[in-house]
Amino acid sequence: MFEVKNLYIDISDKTILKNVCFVLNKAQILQITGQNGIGKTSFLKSLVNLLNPVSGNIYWNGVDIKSNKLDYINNISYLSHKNYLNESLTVQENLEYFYKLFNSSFNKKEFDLNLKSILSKLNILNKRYSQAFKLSQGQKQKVALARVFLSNKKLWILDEPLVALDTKSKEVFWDIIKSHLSNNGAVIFTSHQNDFIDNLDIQKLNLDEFA
Amino acid sequence: MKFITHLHNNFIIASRNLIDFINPIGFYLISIVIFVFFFGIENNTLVQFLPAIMWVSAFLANLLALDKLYSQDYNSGVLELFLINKSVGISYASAKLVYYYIVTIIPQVLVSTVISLVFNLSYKLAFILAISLLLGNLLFTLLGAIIMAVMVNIRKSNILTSVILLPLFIPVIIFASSMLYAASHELNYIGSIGILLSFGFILAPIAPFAIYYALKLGYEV
Repeated sequence: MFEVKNLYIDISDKTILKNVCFVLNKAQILQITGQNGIGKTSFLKSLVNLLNPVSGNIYWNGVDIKSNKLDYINNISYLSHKNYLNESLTVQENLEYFYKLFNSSFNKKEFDLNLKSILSKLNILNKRYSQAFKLSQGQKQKVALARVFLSNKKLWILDEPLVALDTKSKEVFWDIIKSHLSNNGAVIFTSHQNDFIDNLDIQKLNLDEFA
Repeated sequence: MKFITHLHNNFIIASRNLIDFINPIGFYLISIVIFVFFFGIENNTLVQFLPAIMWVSAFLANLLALDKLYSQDYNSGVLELFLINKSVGISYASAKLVYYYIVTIIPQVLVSTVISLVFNLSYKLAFILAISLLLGNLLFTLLGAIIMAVMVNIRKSNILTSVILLPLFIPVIIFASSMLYAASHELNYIGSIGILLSFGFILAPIAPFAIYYALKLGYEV
């Protein structure tokens, strides 16, 4: 499904990661680890078309993404350190805005139902019509996660998704991840935490080995 | 579809941050009023210099407004998300240009027309002044938006923006002033309008692509 081959990443003309390789199949989850500043965020950015790798290849369903970037981009959803929320818009407006931009079709009724269900699971349904600047850091992180969960994309690329989440929200997060994997989705995420649920087979990629 | 979504959201955000809309037009008005006090209301020199005063005021007000074109989206990280997908990024840039023109430039031109008539500028000259501001500021918006995109990750880039923008903008000022000179001396001004329009036609389709790639470059550096 997803393969990275001999990827080299430069920042300010300095190679920070060399020869990174991994394969991720359907229904698999990969945790990227490494010490602070090793280049985990840069690596994820190179996977989502925000940074151009110096060399190497990324394959999506066996095809090099250089030859079919649009198909690949249309199948990924990315969560970064930043929560990507427009502070002046409400939670509903923010999520609807992103959904309309990154999905080819939009059915208001269906979207509202899914939104209600996700916000309810994340325990922020009461914040649906609150402007983003009124939310706490944890609530903003939940809205950012809701954007990914609503996206209907095959591959979720998540940079520190567990930051600012309480224990119960982490459980909900893993439940949703499991459901995504059971639907033949795949997940790549970075995290320094290791208090994950037991019944999930998480592959590991330590970037310290590629520095 | 994506363009409309971006534009719609820009207007919602603007309606909730009215101060960002009021600032440039307020600055523009204050700047003109200062000139008016300096020249004196009864003085004919004011009428003679009014178009130039409006052009200088519009340039400064737009410089102020352009600085905020991407800043909110850049700081919240939303911009980064738009750059992942090329079509989303290009429609974002197009919507920003249209939004900026409607919210910042059109009110300035309307205010300029009212002020021109209050100070007894002829209808014809007031009309030509409005056209020159519409076309000149269109080019200013297109050039300025590209330059702001290049410098999106540079903090306190105001002075740098003016230094880069001014030389690029000089041809526009030359043709706009020649248009106004021709109109006030009963000469042919159609040629100058045509040149400004053709600059606009060349730059407008290129600008959203240039903005997208400039923003992306800013993130990669």
